[in-house]
Parts: sequence; C-alpha cells; structure tokens
Amino acid sequence: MVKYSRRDFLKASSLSLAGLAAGLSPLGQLALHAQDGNLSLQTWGHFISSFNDSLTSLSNSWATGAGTGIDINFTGFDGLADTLATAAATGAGPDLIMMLHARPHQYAEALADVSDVVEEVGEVNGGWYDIAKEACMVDGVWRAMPWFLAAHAMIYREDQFAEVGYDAFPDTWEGLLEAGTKLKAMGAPLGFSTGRADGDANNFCFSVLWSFGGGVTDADNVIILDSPETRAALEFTQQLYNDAMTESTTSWDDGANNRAFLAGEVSCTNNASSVLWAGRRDQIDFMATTNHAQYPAGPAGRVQYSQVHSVGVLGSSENIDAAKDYLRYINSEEVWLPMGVQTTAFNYPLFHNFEDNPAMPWNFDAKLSAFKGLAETGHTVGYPGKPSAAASEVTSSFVITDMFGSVCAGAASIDDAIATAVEQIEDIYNS
Amino acid sequence: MQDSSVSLNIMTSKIHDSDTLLKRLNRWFDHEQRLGYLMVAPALIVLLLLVAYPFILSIGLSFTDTRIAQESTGAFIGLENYAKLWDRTLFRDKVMINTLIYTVGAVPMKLVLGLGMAILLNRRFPLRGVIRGLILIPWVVPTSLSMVIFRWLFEPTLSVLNYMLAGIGLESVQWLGTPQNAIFSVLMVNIWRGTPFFAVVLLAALQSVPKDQLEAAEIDGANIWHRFQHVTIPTIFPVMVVATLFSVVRTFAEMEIVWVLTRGGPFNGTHMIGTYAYQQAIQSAKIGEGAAVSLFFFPFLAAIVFFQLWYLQRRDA
Repeated sequence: MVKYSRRDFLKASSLSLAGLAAGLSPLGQLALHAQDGNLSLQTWGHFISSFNDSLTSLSNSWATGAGTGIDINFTGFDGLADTLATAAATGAGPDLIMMLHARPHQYAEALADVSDVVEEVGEVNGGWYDIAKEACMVDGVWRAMPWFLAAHAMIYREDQFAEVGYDAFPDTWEGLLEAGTKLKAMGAPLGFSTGRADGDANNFCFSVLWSFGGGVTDADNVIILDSPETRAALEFTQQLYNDAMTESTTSWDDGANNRAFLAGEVSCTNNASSVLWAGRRDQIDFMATTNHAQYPAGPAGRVQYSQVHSVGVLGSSENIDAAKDYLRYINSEEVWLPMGVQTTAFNYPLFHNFEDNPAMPWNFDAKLSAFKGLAETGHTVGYPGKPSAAASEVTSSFVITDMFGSVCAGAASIDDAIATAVEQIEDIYNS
Repeated sequence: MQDSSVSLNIMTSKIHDSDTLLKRLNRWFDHEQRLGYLMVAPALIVLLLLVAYPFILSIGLSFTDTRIAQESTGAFIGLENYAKLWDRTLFRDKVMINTLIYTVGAVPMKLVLGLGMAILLNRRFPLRGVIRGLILIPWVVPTSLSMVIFRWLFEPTLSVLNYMLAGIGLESVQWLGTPQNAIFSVLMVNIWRGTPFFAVVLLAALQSVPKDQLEAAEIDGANIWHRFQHVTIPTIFPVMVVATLFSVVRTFAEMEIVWVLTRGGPFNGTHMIGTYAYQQAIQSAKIGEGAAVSLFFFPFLAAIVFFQLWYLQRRDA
C-alpha cells in the first residue's frame, strides 16, 4: 500500500487550491468574460413581476434578431446606485443601467452620448415631455434614454371621504387639511411619508414645497430655500401632520404607506398605482371604493415631483451600438405599449404618442384616470432651478424630507429645520 | 546491441533524472518553514488584495477631491476633507456623536451579556450542545436578512412588537419614528446580533480556566464570587480584551443594521460613520470625502488597539 502522509495531503491540496484559485481569479473571470460578448443590462426589478418576465422575453427576442445575447440583472434601487458608482469608477460593469431622478447629471462623464437614438425615438413617438429632457439631457447632450415616469397620485377611500361630506377629492392642500381633520376625528387619518422613503417621501415633501412656491434653488441655481414660501409649506405640513395625519410617518419607507392603506389604517396616501394593484390582487373589499386623484394644488398651483426612470449606456461599454439599438427597441411601440399596460399605470410614457392610446389604463379604468397628464405637470429634482448632480445629491441625502419630518415630529422648529437644511444644501452646492 | 544498450542507458538516465527532480521537489516541500509560508500565502494574498490595498487606496483618496465619473477631480487637497467634515454640523453633532453612543452603548452590554451566557453554557444541563449551537444563530444569519425581519418587527402598522404590547394593554411604540427610539432600536439589534460572538469566545476562554485553581480557591474558603473575581476573570481577561477590541472596531464601522432599518434617519438621528461614508462615497459619488469619513476615527481606533495590545503584553510580562 502506498504511504500517504498528512504532509503529502497538505502539499497536494495546496497545489490544487492554487490552481483552482488561478482559474477563479479575476484574471480567469475576465478571460471567460471576454469570450462572452453579450449585452448586459442592470435594471430595477419591477414589483409587477410579469413586467420583468416580459422584459426578459422581449429582450431575448431582440437579441436573437440582433445576433447577440443579453443578460438582464434585476435589482433594487440601492443596487442600481451601487453598480452605477462602481461601474463609473472602475470602467467595468454592465453596458446598460437604469437610473433614477437626475442621476444622468451626476454621472454625465461616465455615460455615452445617446443623443442620436434618443432624438430618433422622440421624433417617432411624438416628442419628449420637458421632464424627460430635465432628467436626461446634460448641457444639450442626451446622457440617458428616458424610459418611463413612475406615475404618482393621491389614493383615497371614496366611502370615508363621503362620510365626512366630500364627494370628490379636495382640489387644494388646504381643502385636504380640512377633510383630513374630519377624517382623523373619525378614526381614518391621512398618511404621507416624511421619512427616508426615496419615492413617496420625496414625492410628498417636494410637491408640497413647490406648490407653495418654495424651492431649493432658483433658475440661476441660487439657494432660495429660506423663504416665506418654504415657511408656509412647513407650517401647513406641520398642521396637516398634527390635525389630519397618523403618527409614525417619519419612519415610513416606500412600502409602509402601502401597508397602512391596505390595512385600512389610513384613508389617503400618495403612491403609484401599486396599492390598487395589490388590493385588487388580494381582493380587499374596500378596493371597490378606492380611487385616485391628482395631487392637490397649492398657492403656487399644482406642481408635482415626478420620478423619471431612464437607461444609460456606460461610456466604457464595448457594445455601445448594440446598446443603442436595444434602447431603440425597448421604446418602440410594439414593446413599450404592452409592457406599460401591464404595470397598471405605474409606468407612464415620457413621449406624447402613447398617452391617448386606448390601451393605456388611464383611458379605460376610471380608477386610474387621475394619472393622465402627469408627464406634463411633473418636474424632477432641482426645480425650479436646474437639475444637476448637486440637486440629485440633495434628494438622495433626504435633506428636504428631513426638514419636513423634523418639523412634523416636533424635533425642530421651522427656523431650525430650515437653517439645518440650508447648511447642508450650501455644503452640497458649494462643494 | 550497442544501440540498444545506449538507448537503455539514456532511458535509465532520464528515469534517474526525473526521480532526482521529484525527490528534489519533495525535499523542497518537506521544509517546514517553506510549507508553512505556502499554507499562509493564499490568506495573505487575499488580505493584501482585499484589505491592505483598499485601505492604502482609501488613505490616498481621502486626501483628494475625487468624485466618481468626474475626470476634472482627483487633485491632492491635503487634510481639506477632514477639515470640512469637522466643520460640518451634521458630521460633528450627529454622525460622530451617534457613532460614539452606539459603540459605547452596545459593546459593554454585549460583553456583559456574552459573559453571562458563557457562564451559563459552561455548566452542565440537558441539550447543552444544541443550545450552544442555537445561540450562534443571530451571529451567523446574514445581517441584511435578519434586518428584514427586524424591519417587520418595527413596522409602523404591522409591528409584531406593538401587537404584543397592545395585547398587554400598553400603547404602541414608534420604534423607528423618533431619533431617540431609532437609536435605541438599532442599539438593541446590534446587541442581539453581537452577543453570541462574546458568548462563544468567552465560553472557550472559560473552559481553559484551570479547575485545580478553582478547587484550591474553594478549599481555601473562597465563595463563588471570589473565585470568579480572583481566578476566572484574571484567566480570561486577555480573551475579554481581544474580543472587546474586535467588537469595538466592528461596531464603530457598523453599516448594515442601520442602513437597512433606518438609512440613517429619522432626520440623521441614526447616521453613523458607516452609513454616512456610504452616502457620501456611493450615493453622492464623492469618494474622496467618503474615504475621509470612513478613516476619520482611524487614529483613535488604532490608538485603542495599540494600547490594549500593549497592556496585554505588559500584563503577560
């Protein structure tokens, strides 16, 4: 019998491991990757899973026709931010990546110029809405293809509002405060996130701020947050929180208001169509008396914060032409329309042509009609000033939502909250 | 005949040469020190590539104004990032203070609870082996997974904890709704997650306490507390110090618990070094500043590590 000692085993295993490590090393992986010329897309995993399935299936069809392959990686919003930062810093990452808000401004230098394909798609589809240009055009160059708007509206209980004398949703914030006070007394308060909810809290706080005439910067990018209009917005929100809203919204994430509404804890919140979608799916009985309405108007009119989802091509990609062709494809009528319809009004088109299409949910589902026209009235970060990397950072740092939240919770006076926010904004814009 | 004998000689010579090479290789690997270095080499390479290199790179980045995807940045600016952080109210009054409260609040509790657990687990009782394994669950479950569960426990509308409080007639708590409640909540979660580490490490230390010393102390009339104070604690003290050291460094750099539960909110009430560094470096693409945030306390932590290790060495001497 061959004697095989412990020492022999250690030698053999260490050499084997060394070989394995070489094969699995970054160099080894790079060698493998170089042989795989597939296009790669990192995108947000839609809460409506059939959208993800359709995207995968249609993308594979495109890839077959284009004589290539496509790898799609679905992830959360934080995952998108991480990947974008890593890919921009290292030059290695997916070819295409979804972005939110005005991230194209923040990463303009790392993104390829896609003006040719974006202009072409816009022309074919009736032109882009201004909000698409705000979010994706940097110094006259399109740095991302606008894909859809995450349509937001008020969702409310018609039955509960009717009980306190409101047959229609109040058209103004003051009207909503009045209704909300009665609703809270009835045990059916309102609920709007003032916490670190990227979608809902930013939508609520910025919309209130802008519709009262306030803003972070003006058209010349001068910081204008410390103003009577901002104070008015904060005073209003503080009163709304105390008299009409449920407590604990300062800790609400993007799903908390959904859960609160579906549990019957609140009579109204702001959200995309996901609440109605989930309620219908789970056959919750009060969905029959649930409806959507436009955001209320303030003293400065009806101005709404809107979240643009766009897809950029990384400048380091070796497949830029294929990536542009893919962008053209996903914004074509035969792809965008059926996929958009599946999302029950969540995905709102950023070009003019599809809005009036009878297949779009707001044109046949009365409960979704309030979403129509959002692309016209919505603005992205930086309004009334210019969208920029700094404006994007103000949003992602929750400066404005913290300002509103701290006032609502009584953690800071209005003056202190504004002063804290201004200090942070100045630091961001000056750096 | 002559050709075949020459071929045979050549073959024999080749076989002899390969034998010699194999033997040479064998002898080379038989050298204990060399084999030792070979064994350590993979881990060392990983440490160098994934720890030392990023660490040195971070130090370099913290002295620059580098922003991701902005080629015009990257200039050396000395200590400007650190100075800016010190001048920033948010960093000084929230991030730093929150980090200190979090660390000072969590580590002693983990030590005390971990020691208590270790003492209990050192005794004989039924299913001791199973329980020893089960207590590790908080520590081994991936943090982001366990934080999803805690997110549900603290959920404003559907909180199981509030449901239980309501069941005994108490009011609901906004677990993450105010800065005070939120920092208390994340502190409790950190203690839940980190206590098993102390328990396991101190259990191992307790098992190395010489039984004859404990028996001798008992014979000399020492009660349980005296034996614990004068025999057990001095024996396990070095292990306690090292475990505490690891925990201080780990807790200082905490990111996952806070980010998943509160993202630094409400109103920056739970923003810590780890979460603020992530926000600046990744979300705001200011990687130079983010590096400065993560390294801000490095001299302080290095001093703690140095002092503790020096104290241990002195004590052993």
